[in-house]
Amino acid sequence: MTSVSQTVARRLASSPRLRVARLVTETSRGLTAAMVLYVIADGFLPIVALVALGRAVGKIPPAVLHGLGSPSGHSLLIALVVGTVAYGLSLLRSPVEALLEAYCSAAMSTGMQRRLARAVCEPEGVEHLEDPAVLDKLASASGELSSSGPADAPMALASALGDRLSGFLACVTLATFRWWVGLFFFAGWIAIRPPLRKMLAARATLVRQATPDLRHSWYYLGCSYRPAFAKEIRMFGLADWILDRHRTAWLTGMARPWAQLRKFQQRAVLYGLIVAAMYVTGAGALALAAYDHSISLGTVAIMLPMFASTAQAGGVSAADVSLEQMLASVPDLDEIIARLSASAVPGTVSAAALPAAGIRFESVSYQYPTGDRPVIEDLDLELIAGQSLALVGINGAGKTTLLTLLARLREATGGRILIDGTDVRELDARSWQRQVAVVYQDFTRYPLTARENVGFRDIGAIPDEQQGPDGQSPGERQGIDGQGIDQAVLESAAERAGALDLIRGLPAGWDTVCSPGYLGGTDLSGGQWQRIALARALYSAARGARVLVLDEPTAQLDVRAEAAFYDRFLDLTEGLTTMVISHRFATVRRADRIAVLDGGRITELGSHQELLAAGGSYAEMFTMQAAAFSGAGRTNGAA
Amino acid sequence: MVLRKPRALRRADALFGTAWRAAPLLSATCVLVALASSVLSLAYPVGFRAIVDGAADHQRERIIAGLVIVAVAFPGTWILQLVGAALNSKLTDMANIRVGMKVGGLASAAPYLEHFERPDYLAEIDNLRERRRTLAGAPAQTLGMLKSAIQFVGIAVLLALVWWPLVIVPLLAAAPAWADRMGAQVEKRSDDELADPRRLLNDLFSLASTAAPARELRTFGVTGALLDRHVKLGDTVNARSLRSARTAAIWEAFGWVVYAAGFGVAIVLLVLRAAHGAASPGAVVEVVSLLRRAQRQVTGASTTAGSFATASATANRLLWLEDYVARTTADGTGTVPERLTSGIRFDGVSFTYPGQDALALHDVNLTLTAGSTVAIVGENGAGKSTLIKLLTGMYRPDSGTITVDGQDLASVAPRRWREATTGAFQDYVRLNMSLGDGVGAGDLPRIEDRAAVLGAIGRGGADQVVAELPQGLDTVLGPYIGGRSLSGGQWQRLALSRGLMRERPLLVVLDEPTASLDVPSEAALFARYRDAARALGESNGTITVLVSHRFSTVHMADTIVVMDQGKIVEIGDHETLMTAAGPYSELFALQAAGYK
Repeated sequence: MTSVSQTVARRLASSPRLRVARLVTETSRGLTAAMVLYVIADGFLPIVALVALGRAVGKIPPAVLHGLGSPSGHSLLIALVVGTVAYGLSLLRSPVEALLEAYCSAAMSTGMQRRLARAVCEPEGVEHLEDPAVLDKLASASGELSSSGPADAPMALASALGDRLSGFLACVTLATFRWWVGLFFFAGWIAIRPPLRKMLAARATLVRQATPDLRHSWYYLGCSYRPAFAKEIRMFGLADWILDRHRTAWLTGMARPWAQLRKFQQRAVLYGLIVAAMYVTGAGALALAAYDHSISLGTVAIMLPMFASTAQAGGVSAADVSLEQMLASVPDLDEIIARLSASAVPGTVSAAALPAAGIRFESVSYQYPTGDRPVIEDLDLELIAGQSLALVGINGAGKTTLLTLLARLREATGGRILIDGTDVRELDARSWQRQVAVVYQDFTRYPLTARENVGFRDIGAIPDEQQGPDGQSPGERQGIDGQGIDQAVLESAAERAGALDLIRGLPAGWDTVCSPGYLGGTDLSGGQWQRIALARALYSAARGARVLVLDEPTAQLDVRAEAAFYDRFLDLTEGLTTMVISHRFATVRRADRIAVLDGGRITELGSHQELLAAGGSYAEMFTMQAAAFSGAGRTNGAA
Repeated sequence: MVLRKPRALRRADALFGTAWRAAPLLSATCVLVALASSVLSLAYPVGFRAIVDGAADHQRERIIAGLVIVAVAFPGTWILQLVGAALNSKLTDMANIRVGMKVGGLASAAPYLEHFERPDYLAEIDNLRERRRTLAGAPAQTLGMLKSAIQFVGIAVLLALVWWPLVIVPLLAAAPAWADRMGAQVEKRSDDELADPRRLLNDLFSLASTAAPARELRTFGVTGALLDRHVKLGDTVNARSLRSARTAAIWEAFGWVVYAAGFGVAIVLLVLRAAHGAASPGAVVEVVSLLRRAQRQVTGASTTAGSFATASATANRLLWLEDYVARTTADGTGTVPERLTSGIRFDGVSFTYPGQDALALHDVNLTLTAGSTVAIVGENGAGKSTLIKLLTGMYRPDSGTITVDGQDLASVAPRRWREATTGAFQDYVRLNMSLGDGVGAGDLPRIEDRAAVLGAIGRGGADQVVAELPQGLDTVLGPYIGGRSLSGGQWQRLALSRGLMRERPLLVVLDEPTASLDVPSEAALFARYRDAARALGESNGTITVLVSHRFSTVHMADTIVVMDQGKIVEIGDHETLMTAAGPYSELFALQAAGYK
């Protein structure tokens, strides 16, 4: 007995329909009440209207005989008024539904996006965002995969419920004529509905399973109209080839869902025969009784439209197709949120003012979850506080991975990283991350104002003058409009990054939105963005970060700007614990110490002079590059 | 050449022709099913009347006739609706892929890059891409409207047969339709106003859920601030969109109240007539049933009309793109030589990006000698990439001519000229497919030729990349499709390999192809490439044009072109330019200082 009730409970808990209902009740009580009212009205009003109008029809013959002033005439008029008013109210369904849908979808889509956003921000690392399984679910949950997102599901569900109720009431009404007619219709629809619905659900699942193929297909289509692909598509004449691949992948993906549709059509015809049987029996019984005069004319007039109305008890329509699709992506939301919140492991020690002594990697290893061997293996390295270290190595040597380990964006799979002797895992990850100011190689171009792009660290800060005595802002939530950004620090950071003139030259100066996609927004070049990214990190350092990491900070700068950058290198990194990753020796040689990363380990470590003298791979790389400038001209090339 | 067909006809073709061509049989079946189900559903109320009046007058034949109609019409409609929905769903799917291919095909068939680089054009294309589903849905919507129209006319006729003034009631449906449109306008205005905040809302979400920005959010410690902003912005957007939704709902309700009043008056009058013996009870049942049906058609049609309007707007965008492609497509008759004998010449070439004011190239005169290697240097924005785009036929000069062995490039179809060019760019593409295909794409006819692909991989210095992958050439790359991720440098080597696939090009452009490569690789690569370029230059007259910031590479070129602000300021080989002590020697010294 308990096992049965447990099974039922489990099935209820996993039902996507109930989950959708729960999503609404969690979102808003008022909305829930409104939707319940809507379902009841939607169910009752049409049936009430039809019954009243049917009664009115039944009173017509006596009214003809006795006149409208007679008791039959009165009940005719009352039934007529009730029927007309109920029908009129039922017509308001469409505006009410539209309004509820707007409320529901606003509450749901922002609500779900918020929950998802919060969930993906939860883990202190970023490995979850590199996991294709998570990305798939993210895409599915945010409704990208179907045209109707899960946010529309509750209203579609309410609409369907109203229909179901209407259909049920129609069956009840029929049962007042002959109990078995009502039962037959109800049983018939109830029997037909689940298999048809299951087939539609199966199709939605098949579409979801086809995601990998469809993803290929979208990717290829994207190639054909994304600006980034334009030059190579043209140069290599890839247009037709790419579109052909798009088509093939798409047809492969859709083959099974389509086959399912065909099966659905065949079944529909089969079940149509059951429906025909229901109608022949029901309408036949009614016609017979009417002919015998064993029922009144009013009953005939009431029952006839009920036949059609019962269909709503088992209706499977086009709306069900989209409802199934919406519901199909709902479970992903819960799954992804559960999965991400389970992965959070907080440390507790505050990292404020760290590091004062240094950062030490002790036989650190790291292997990507999808990788077959470690990228970093048994690596030992020390960053001395206040000094700069340059990291060089061939592509793919793991330089950027090392940076993400340092910033605790990943957790080492072996060894440990000590900050002033404290294991980084014991530190509060968020507070440690904030100590590290980074110019990433693939830095982000935020569609925000120039002020916010540079003063990024403080976009959520509360302005000093607004801060109350207890540190609480007197206004609403928080200063989340960048009012907490310190203009003086901003200007100096931009100046040092060589970005001040370019920002002042923007159409609206510091308030210019740095994205062409927005009204009044501006497009910046790669070199301009590079300076802004550098300014962003310098601002962060000036506002409290103690570690500065520069990953290929000059990759997009031209000769003059690059020269200016390395001339200022010492000034920029003064007082900070700096790690610079670069291929450019002009920058590298200015670091206090240089480490060569090869095969996941540090193979050489020392100052520029020391490493040159050691004659190892660093010396080889440097002389090769320097030889190009030595005036030897075109004869060199070191083949 | 601009298409001469009238615009309305072309729009209709964009809306329906696509589906028709994608699946003629399916389309025809869909139409037939729609027709049959509308006729059947009209028969239903007539059956009602026969049964009620037959019962009232005790006429067995009428009752049986009514019974047959009801028993056939309802199940028939039921089946046809289900089958129709399934067929329409497939039709929409089929149309969807056709529309996607059409948009993608046009965007990639346009010979020049204007539509990708002008913000206003790009916005149109983005819009078209996002809304192409609406275009795919148009045939199904039209069928829905066709059904509505048939039923509407049928209902009006049947009503008129009962009592002609009843025809007015379905005509009152104009009220909700009109009110609906007023409401839709309110919502459209608010949607336009909210476009930017909504985009930012989604941008903020994707920042939080994409790996690279997520790293930054963490190291700058602003994940919380970003979430707060997302919440606040979402609240603002919701408040404003709900305000307009309320206004729209009030409009719509007003329209329905008018219709309901009409319905009420009509039914009351009809029943009163019946009470005076001027109409049968069956007629009342029939009219109620017909008017309910009419109302459902109105509801359905007004929803459909809304999406249809969107589809129509999308169709207009598609026509715009068609016109743009037709306008820019130039099918020159000129031919490209087998091998270069003299070279490529720029004569007084000037160029301004469409939609901009500043000259990107100003009166450029330049000769690229057959068989030579030419390096172009200059600061950001000097016009280097523009020169490359003109050279590879991605744009045409506004004035002046570019000639290839004396043949004006303006008279050569861009497609043909590009077949003779190859190269790699700094903003290279990371093709998400098997590694071999991604490289082989550089020379499609030989994409299956593994030896050729491996050869290019060797020339591009990517042998090590391939060697490290367990499935070699068959390794699927790109996380978006579930493939492997590579580092920037590894991707760049593959892009370079792709650019070195073609065997006998006339022009190779290398637009900063090694910017993210490390020092030894770059030196080795260029040295290796230079030998190959020499051989090609001698046999084929192939010209290599290299754009680079690295003077260590640049100085090896036969000719060095120094550009500044869209003009050529110096030309010569390394020695000449160093002696000239102009801008080149200054920049060279600046960079060399790092190695002293």
